[in-house]
Amino acid sequence: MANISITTVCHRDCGYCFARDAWNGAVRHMTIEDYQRALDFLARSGIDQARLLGGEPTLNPHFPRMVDLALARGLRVLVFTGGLMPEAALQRLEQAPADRVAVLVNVNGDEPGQAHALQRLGRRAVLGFNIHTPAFEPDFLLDLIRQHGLTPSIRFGLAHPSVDGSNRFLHPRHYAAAGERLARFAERARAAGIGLELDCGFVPCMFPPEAWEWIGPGAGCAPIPDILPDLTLVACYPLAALGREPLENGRGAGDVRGRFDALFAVYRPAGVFRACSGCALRESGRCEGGCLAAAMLRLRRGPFEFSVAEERLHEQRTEASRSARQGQPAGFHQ
Amino acid sequence: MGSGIKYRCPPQVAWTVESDGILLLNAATASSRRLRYPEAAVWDWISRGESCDRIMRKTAAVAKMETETARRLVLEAVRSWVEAGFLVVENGDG
Repeated sequence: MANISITTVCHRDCGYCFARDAWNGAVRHMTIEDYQRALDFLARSGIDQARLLGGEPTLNPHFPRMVDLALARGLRVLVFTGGLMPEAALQRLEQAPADRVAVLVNVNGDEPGQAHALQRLGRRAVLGFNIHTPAFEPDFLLDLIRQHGLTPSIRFGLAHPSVDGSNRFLHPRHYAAAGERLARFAERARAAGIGLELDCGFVPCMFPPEAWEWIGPGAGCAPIPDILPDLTLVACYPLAALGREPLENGRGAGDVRGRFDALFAVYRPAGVFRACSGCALRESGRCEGGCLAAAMLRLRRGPFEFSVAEERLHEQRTEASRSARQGQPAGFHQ
Repeated sequence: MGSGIKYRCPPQVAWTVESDGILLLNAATASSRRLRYPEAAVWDWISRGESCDRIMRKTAAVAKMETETARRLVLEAVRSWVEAGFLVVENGDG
């Protein structure tokens, strides 16, 4: 998979947004020519779905045509939107074949204008909700699905920190409270015939054990590359500060992911909690230690200096030379 | 301080405090090392700017060992961290 970020523009101002830091303040729509190059990248990567996001992707003035171009190449289309979109974009999505175009509408609560789009999208729309506080109230999602006849599924995401940013995010110390709340909500959702899907970064230990069955293995932390409007690739928005790759001819998503994997490998031993070290869930492969960007919050760095006085070294040298004379190794590990 | 050796932690090195020690990460060499106690405590004290003498005394106290044994433990730990690139020698007289 790979996401195509077709604009940096958004009319919302979500405090938890982890995309803004990746754009460095740039205001830019992807051009049709660059979009075609991004579609070429998907083609040579063997990817059969164009995942369009932003910013608010429907604000790209070429959005309807971009949907058409993807469909003309035989791709399925998934649009990540806040649901507040221009009429032309809404019309295009409304008329698209429902078996090939899906719309993931991210909702924060009761936002004016969203209901209009949800009503018209109906079964094409899946609700998404980002958890950025442990005291989130998700029951309104059930009402929205019933009221507008939406796909009976909700995709929950964790608001992750961007590595170099100041976005609002769910700190791992709140995971257990959020997991407990989500587990209780899952029971009510299931009773209503509504399924839950978890995005990346959820860890099993944040949920009560009785919920592990429906949680499944989870998405772990397997970043999906984002193609930015300037045709650079980042591993995912939260990790964007760690490295970028140009979208070049001949390279596919597998190659790019391999480069990012190699770049991040050194940090992978760290998990989001101190207790990740030695955790049986992690050692069994049931858990990857959560979002890497969240785990990196725990990193401490220098610089610091440390001096050893001559007399302390001298004692060591005396010990070393005595040991050498006796044919024994010096130091503590004897 | 007079003569001796000064060590520095390079910017590409990071660490996390874990429930069972400290995890050292070196982005330059793409390597990591898990430190158990008491070595983990030594790294923690070093990173907090504590003096060598004080660290040796504290190591002796928490690990319940002779001061001389603690001294050798600290110096051996520092030597191995230099070898692995987690510390670099800033200056030295041998």
